[in-house]
Amino acid sequence: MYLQVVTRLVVLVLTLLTANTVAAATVTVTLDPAASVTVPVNGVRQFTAKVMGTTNTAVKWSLTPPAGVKRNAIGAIDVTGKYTAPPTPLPGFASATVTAASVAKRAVRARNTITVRYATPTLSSLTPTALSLGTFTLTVTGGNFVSGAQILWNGQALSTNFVSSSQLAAKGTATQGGAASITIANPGPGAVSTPLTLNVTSSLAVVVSPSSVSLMPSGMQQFQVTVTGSSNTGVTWGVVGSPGAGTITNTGLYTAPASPPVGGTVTVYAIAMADGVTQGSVSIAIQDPQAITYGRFLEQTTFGPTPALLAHAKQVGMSAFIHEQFATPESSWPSLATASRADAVDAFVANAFSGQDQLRQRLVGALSEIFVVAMNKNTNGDEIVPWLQVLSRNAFGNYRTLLREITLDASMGKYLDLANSGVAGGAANENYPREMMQLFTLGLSQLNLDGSVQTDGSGNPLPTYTQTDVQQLAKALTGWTYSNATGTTGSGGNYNYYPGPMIPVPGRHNTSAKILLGQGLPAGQTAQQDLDSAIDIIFNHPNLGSFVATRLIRALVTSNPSPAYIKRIAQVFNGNGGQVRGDMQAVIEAIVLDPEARNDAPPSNFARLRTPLQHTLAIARALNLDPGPASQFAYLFYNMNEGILDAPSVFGHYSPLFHIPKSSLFGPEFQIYAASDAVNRANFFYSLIYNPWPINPALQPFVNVAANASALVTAIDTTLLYGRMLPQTRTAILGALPAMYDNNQRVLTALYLTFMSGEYLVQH
Amino acid sequence: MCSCLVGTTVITSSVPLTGPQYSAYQSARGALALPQAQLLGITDPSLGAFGLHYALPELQALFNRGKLAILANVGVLVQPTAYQDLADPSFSLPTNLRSHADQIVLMQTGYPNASGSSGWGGRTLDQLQTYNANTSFPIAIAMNSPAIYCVGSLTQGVSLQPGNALVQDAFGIYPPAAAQARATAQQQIVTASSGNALIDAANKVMASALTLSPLLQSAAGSTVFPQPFPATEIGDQLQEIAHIISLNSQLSVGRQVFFCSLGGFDTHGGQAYQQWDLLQQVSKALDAFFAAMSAWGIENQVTAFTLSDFGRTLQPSGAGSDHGWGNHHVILGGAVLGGKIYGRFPVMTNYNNFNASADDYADNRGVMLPSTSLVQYGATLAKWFGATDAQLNGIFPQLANFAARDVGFMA
Repeated sequence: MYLQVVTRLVVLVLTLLTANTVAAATVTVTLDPAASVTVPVNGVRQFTAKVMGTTNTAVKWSLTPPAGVKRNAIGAIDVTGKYTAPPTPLPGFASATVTAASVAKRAVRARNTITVRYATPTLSSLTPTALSLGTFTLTVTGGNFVSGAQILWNGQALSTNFVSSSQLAAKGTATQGGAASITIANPGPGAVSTPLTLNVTSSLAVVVSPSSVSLMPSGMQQFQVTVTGSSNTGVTWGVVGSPGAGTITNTGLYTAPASPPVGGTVTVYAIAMADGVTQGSVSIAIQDPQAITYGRFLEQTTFGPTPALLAHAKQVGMSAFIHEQFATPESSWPSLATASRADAVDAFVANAFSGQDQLRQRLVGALSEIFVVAMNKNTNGDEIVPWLQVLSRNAFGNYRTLLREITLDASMGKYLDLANSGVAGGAANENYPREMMQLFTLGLSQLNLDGSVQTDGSGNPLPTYTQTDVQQLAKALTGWTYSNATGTTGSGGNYNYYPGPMIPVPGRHNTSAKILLGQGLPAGQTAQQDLDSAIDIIFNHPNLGSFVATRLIRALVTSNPSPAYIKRIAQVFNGNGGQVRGDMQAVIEAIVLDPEARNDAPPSNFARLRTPLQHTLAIARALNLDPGPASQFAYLFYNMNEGILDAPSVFGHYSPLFHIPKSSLFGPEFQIYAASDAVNRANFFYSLIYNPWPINPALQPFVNVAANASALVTAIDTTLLYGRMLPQTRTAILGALPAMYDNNQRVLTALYLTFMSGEYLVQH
Repeated sequence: MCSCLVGTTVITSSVPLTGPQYSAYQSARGALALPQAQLLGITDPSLGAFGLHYALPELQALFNRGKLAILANVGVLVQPTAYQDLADPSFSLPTNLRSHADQIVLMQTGYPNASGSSGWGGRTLDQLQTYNANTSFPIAIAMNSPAIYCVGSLTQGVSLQPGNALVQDAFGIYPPAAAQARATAQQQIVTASSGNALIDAANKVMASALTLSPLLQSAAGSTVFPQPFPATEIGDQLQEIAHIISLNSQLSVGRQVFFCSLGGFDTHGGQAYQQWDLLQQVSKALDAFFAAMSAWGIENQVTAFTLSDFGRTLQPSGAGSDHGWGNHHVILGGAVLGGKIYGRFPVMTNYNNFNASADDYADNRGVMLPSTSLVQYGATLAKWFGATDAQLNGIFPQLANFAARDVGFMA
């Protein structure tokens, strides 16, 4: 449709940011659909590939079988990206991989996986059409049945015999009167028929009350039972999974276990003695009184609690946990000699996912958003790993040492151009010196100890430094070059070399006297002397404590700390309690043990939004769901505005100045959480839980309780939200579950809705 | 580009093409100077011959057709500022000049310090609400990530990605009733109030995705472009914007702003190649965009213009240049009085003796001292958009400090 003449005006702004992104001409390929797809046998699916960064948008399509599967068994893809499935699924429902490689740049490719499923069965009739309580034999007729197909009774599989492609039979026991939903599932992904209803007639009914109970560990509850339809009102009590799920007496007195069971819920039942079949049941949530306290603590000090870590932290206590973490050996980083980009990405995410040094890894993440280096300029693995090593090595050290090492780090030397500044003549490069003061240490405005900005008589902020200071610092930092295998250089400096810090170039340091932030650096100092003088001046600047306190509190705890909180941490940084100035261990411990961080009923502005990676890892750790090597899914993170190890500029992935739209509250991470980011995150998380189809095996504990909707939601609440799920969220999820055709779909639904709820998106 | 345009941004734009001004440019710019033979000639009716960066042949043609104007040396100012004012500690200047993070904010808020929480695009739409009374479609859209430019007190900025109709894979399941149940539950979760401001803010983002997705899906694929957009980051963004503009007659949008962006101009090193590469992407993408507006007969209703955090130093450092202040910008559209350079173009020869000069430079690195304020630039556009004089004063509080409220480049 073309537009008609319109009476409206449209303004369009094209903005050219000069921000520090460097590689503009990268070729990328993205696939649509981007998430794994499932295609029925003999079915067709069209893929499209989008090539960016080159005018040649052609791609070459190919199809790769999984290990052990022949090429002629996986279907075919044509030159337009149209895939046609084979007549039978792949063995084990393994997935074939479709690849689109850029014709302009063959090494650039995008992949997706295809799973071939059986055709969806149809269901036309049931024999008998109604049942009584007790054992039964059920025969179903329909179509598209394959060997291994199962009859599902309210989503639970019955022991089924395959008769023909149009008939199945199963035996079972009906334990409750009422309508049962019967469906047929072929083996493998996504092939479940529409349901037919089977009525079970019974005059007996068993009702247990109260119908919803929440207990503390070792708590007790007396249950009542009502049997109708028989003069024999006796029942037999039981607990599913006893004794780990607690015990119940023959009078219905339940005692909860001493520690909460997996998933946090148990089911108590009563079976009528009248027929030995009819039963009533109720789900009980076992609360962990310390789950919220320690769950919140671990959200701030790790990439999210695992069940084991939660138990451990509760056992040793918070302070001991932190000191244990300080003493835990550093996770390893790839060798510089062989590191690829993928190795760097894999290690960064794997350490965060499963490293024992969780607190250190959390700090590496936080520091990587302050002292930014990015792969769009440092394109090879060996240009990025040294930077990670500096952050990791110094996370629990002293800020001055960190600052000195990062200044001389060859990765940073390349990224912000300090390497060879002034070596070949020309003005001293101001890039690193400016960002060193603005982004790494002092910020733009003079600060009070509580982080508030100092102003002049007219209310204008007092600047921390001037352009002259930047130029003076740039001169003080001239004359450094990359090292080399022998650690030497002539007066021309060295080419790029990343193992080891930068070294001074003889005769290429600007030896004039400098004045930095009001303090003099005398003429004639060496490059090392000027470096140490400059670092001393900056390190001892009164802004530094508040600056670091604010950044780290925002990264670990909350986007909106109170001034008093910032002040307390700044005082620790400054050594007011007798500590050494800049002691990171003291600062970290003070941040996470502060009463404001530890308030389990925080005010309404207390929270921080998880970044996509933090969000992913929190899910993965809580559910023990290994996402695999990050380099395999790193491309998806660009669409969430969090390219891994690849911030778009020296300001990181988001600005510390960012406010939540239409609000006075800070919310830096909201800068990368717009509508499209939200949907891209959601789709990524969905693919994590439904792969391999029909559900990731790590989620089996949830599938086991999913027949009881309330128990399922409670289990998810306990695991992800420590029992804090808001009532409206719970109600909404419970409302969605009845429409799902099986227990797997119930689990996927409840998890997905929880992942993308605001209460799980923010750490609070 | 800004070379002459000091710095970078769009135009190397305009380098004086001949005579002592070109020689002064060449000597100041050193290794980064473009040879005369590489410059694309344009002629301003009163200023004479200038050269555009050789990456911009499409913009050269649009300038020659009278569709494109250049505004010289515009930047953030509190008030008219002369060189000697810079040494006066009591003189008000914008805060945190030359800091990317801050200047990226200032150019969007239109305020001279970083404390603002709304942008001048959003505030302009706040004033022009009556034009949008009949639409529920977003009227302020940023490509890829949120931009404060689009946020007003009443106007909500939203962010979209090219080609992304905000479809959730989890809602593509069988049977349809199950898919609908998931969507309904999510809608309930994200529209409920939680008692925590950040939880609510996160929910609001997904709520907006749920609202927008059906609108974007209904329109997908129905747009025909007269000229293909280049497959570049900026090309994709402008194509998506053109696509959304093509929906407007169905959506009853009366006034709309878009924001797209391209990074990589922070060329402390490697400027020669990088600047060429980025500028050619911009030039080709704008050309395709204008061709679409023109073919659809709405070129007089759509204006594209550029902004940046700052220009760069005229003097190089190594193979790059450092952060500057003023910069040259381009304005493109059927309602633009094009083929002209507006504002005061810095006198190149003043750079070499800048202390004695008038006010073209702020220091001896060749940082341009803006002669036109961002608010004058913005007010000229907002006036064309329909804002009254009184409304302009509300949108741009500093506008009263400047004599010329309209720089003159809009019809």
